[in-house]
Amino acid sequence: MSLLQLSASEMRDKAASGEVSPSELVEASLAAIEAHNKALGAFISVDAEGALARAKELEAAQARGKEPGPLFGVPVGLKDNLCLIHQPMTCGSRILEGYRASYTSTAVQGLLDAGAIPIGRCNMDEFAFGSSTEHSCYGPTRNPWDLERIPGGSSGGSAAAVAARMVPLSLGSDTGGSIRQPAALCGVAGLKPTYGRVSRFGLTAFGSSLDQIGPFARRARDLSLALQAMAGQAPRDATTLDAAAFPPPEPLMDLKGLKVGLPAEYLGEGVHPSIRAQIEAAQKTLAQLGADLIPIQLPHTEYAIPAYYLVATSEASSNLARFDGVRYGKRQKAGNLEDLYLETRGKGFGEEAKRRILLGVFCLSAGYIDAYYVKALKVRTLLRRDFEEAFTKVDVIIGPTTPYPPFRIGESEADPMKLYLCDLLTAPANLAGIPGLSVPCGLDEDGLPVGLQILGPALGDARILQVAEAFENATDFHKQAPREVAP
Amino acid sequence: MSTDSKNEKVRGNIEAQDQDPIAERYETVIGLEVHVQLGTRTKLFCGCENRFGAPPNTLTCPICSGHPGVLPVPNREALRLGILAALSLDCDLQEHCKFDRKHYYYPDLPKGYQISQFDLPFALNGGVRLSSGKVIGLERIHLEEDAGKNLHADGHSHVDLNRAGVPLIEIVGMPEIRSPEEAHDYLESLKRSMRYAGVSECDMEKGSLRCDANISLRQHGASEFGTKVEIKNLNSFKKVVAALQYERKRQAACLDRGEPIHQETRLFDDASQQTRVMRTKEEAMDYRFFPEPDIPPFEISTTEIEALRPLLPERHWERRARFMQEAGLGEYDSMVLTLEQETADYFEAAWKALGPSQEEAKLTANWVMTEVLRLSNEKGLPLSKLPIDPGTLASLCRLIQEGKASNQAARKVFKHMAETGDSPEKALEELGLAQISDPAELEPIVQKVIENSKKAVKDYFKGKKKALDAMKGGVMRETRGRANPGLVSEILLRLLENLREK
Amino acid sequence: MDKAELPPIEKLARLARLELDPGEKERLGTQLPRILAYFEKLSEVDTEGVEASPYAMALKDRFREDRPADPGDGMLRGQDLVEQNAPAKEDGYYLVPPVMGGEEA
Ligand SMILES: [Mg+2]
Ligand SMILES: [Zn+2]
Repeated sequence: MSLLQLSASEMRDKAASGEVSPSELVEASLAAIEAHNKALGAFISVDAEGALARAKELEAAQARGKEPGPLFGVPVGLKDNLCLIHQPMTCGSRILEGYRASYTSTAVQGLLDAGAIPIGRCNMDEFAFGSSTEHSCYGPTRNPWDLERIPGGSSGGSAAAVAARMVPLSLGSDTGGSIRQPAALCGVAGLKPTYGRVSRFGLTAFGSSLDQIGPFARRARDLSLALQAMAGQAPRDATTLDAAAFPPPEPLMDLKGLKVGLPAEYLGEGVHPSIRAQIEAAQKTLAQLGADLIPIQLPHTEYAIPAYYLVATSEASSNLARFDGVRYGKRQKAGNLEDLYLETRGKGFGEEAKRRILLGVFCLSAGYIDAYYVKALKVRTLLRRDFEEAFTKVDVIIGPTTPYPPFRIGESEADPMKLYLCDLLTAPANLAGIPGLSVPCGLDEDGLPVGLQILGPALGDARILQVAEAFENATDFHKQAPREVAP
Repeated sequence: MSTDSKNEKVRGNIEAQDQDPIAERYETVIGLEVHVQLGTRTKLFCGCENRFGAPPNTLTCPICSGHPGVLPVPNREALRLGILAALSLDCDLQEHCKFDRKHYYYPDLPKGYQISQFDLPFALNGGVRLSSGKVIGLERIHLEEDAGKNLHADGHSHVDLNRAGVPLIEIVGMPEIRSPEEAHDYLESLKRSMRYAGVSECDMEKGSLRCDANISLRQHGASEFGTKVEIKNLNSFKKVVAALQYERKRQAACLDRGEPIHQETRLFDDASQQTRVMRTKEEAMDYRFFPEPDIPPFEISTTEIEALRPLLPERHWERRARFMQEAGLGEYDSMVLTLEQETADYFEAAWKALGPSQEEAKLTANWVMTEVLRLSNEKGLPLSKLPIDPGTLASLCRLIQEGKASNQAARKVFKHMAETGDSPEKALEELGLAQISDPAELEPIVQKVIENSKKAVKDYFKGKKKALDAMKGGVMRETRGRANPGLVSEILLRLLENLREK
Repeated sequence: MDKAELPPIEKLARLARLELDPGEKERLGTQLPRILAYFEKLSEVDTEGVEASPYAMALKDRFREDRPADPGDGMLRGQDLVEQNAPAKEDGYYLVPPVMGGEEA
């Protein structure tokens, strides 16, 4: 069996026991990237030299008797919007061509401290604007299950890298579904932790009140290990929660007494029939494990998309104001200051980024802010109350992660709204700040993966991970692999 | 003192303006917005040093340089100093506060927005007391970060981010100032309040106090304000006054001609001493304020306010009034002694050590205002670091009071003490300047001078008063100036009268 | 909700400091009003008396102490930042085209 069929925790255990070396794991990962990346476009850049050097360091430390960390020797992919000092970071944008990070993000530092080995930078929609990973200046990432289709986004590179067994673990960021949605479409597990659980320091901001960093892996246990390495209150992020460290939860033998909410709004007309079928099957599995299925309502769900896009684009337009070519990034030649700004930003940003910046600038401008931005924040309060109300009745909420299977590449180009609707079932969790994850729950009629979304109350990360792990143990979906990389 | 002479110069300008007939035709309405840098160790949102004068871009980090992914974490001390400043101006501290983003593009603004406070500033109301006793109301005070600096070189500009992120309070005054001289008085009073509260150096040369002014004119008795013009780039009190004087004249001339005033932002040009248009109303910025999502809101509790209140010293205007009343000092002396809290403290300590009377206060005040402040200026030392502390100054004053040192000798003693750190007594001894006030010691000397001044004695008996001065001079020469002049006169007269009787 | 009168795309682009090519101008000019029209859906929701939620979580009073950063904390500082990333620099400054209203050097 190839080393890359192992989960992150299995790799770690083998490396810790000396059965394999971190160098062997890195080499296996580099070989897989070499074999598949040309077709997939999952990685923008690979730091082979750096990864091998780090593997050697870890081996030396181990030889000196240093206790191997919980992610010892595990090769990881990093979404290209996370800072790692001196390393390039492009956010999939031309405007950051040549940029080298000036510090290391808190989350990535957590992985490093746990013994993980960053192997390369994963492709993404420019500045995380998108649900398809088509909007990268480095070209699209392709879905390993069907190269003609999108992998989802914006963390499509991180999802595809794990699905294609290039790495067992990767990091993404989730503003409106950018971890869960590509996880679902690529048939892997992906977690968006509770807002404030993982420090955003070092994550290039998109929607500051929505963004969270989270892991992709093939097993729920690996998500827990990664969250453990990253979680905690951080002195450099005033929005991290007081919650102490995150110990990976004990596995559950069954789900007896667990109250699982089934929101009617999450299986409405917009949901593709073959996805609905897989979700209904998953409900049965959970019931067989002893869970009580309880119908609930999240009545403001249909307003989540406009509310989400208003908040997200408003914040994004502000967060992207710093990319002006003055202190870093790719500057266009200009004779005066105004032209420097217009040209640098005009040539540096792609069309989707421009679309969102313009929307955000408009929604915050004098005379419109109350009707748009503030209105959206009020609807956000109502969405949040929906969840608070629901979580007085149930422990977790389940539903599909995405309403429909992955588009063909290029299919949504003419109609940006079509793409925006992909976030229908994931964006509410970001607006409410609650944790959510996606685990594989079968294949649709075309043989494409379907994701089961599990949502929990704020700081209920451990609970949803336990449910995911129990579901995994009761099913074989996590073993499914795209044909190209099947064991 | 240099500040003093500057003040005098400005006051001179203002008085000249008083004969301006504009005041007869129009009422001037002025409101000031003052930015004050807070004297924290570090910047508002990062751990970079808050310090003036370092080489360019050396006090920077990814946070204050606006790199991707950075987050602001507010400095508690900045808020604490802000609260002290607000309390010293009698503001109402607000329980619920938040930060907001204010957007505009400028090379010295690294994030493309300034983190400021929009609709929930930390302090409202309050006022600044002018020397006349009139109080100019305040609208609000908010906390925000400073921008960096753009410096012109030829054909391009240089950006230095050392100042980017330094904590500021913006103090927004009501349009209740009625003349450029009141504006000057307002700034002096505000600066003193900030320095007394210990929140800022308020050194305009280092940019730690900066001012924007709004000015409009209207007919006397009108209830509506005229169209206002904002003047930016006023980095000295002198420039504030000059710009307001110019702008007042310009607007009056417009109104006289029946032309409308345009609502616009103008810059003051130092070279021409004129203002010129920087931005018209049509180009007004849309700042797109919205709540800073990276910083949770904050609260100022009554407990916190009450814990800080006792840290504030007596206000400068209260202290000045007390110096006039208790110490019997004149208005000018009280003003000079309260310009800096340190001066007032020094004076008060020396006075209390010398004695309780107003006479003792005056003697002390004279010494503080002349020798002590001069020494501090010469040495470039704060009063607290001078080799002569208030107790020592009091001892020196006592020697004068007791007739053990003449004023002239005491000044020499003061200089000597400043160099050596000796006690006044020792310095007096060392310099051989101790005044001879012992009649037994003086009488033989006077006797000898009388014997050697036959002609003068004769003249004296003829009624020539000048002859007495000549003999007194003789005694001073004999004692090298150390004789107590009063005592010399007394002995001289007595011995001469004895002689006449014979 | 007030029906939005979207300002001309050129004006918005100026406000956002974005140079648009003619194709972009046309596409964005037709798409933005459609997207905004979809956002109008929120006007169906009665938000009378509902508070706005600009923050993700109900946190407050998050401050740091006034202590200088540890120089060994792994972040680049000062001239290292200029060296590593400045697109144009001179004498330790970032270099830009002339700025109106700056201070004299
Ligand atoms: Mg301001
Ligand atoms: Zn800094």
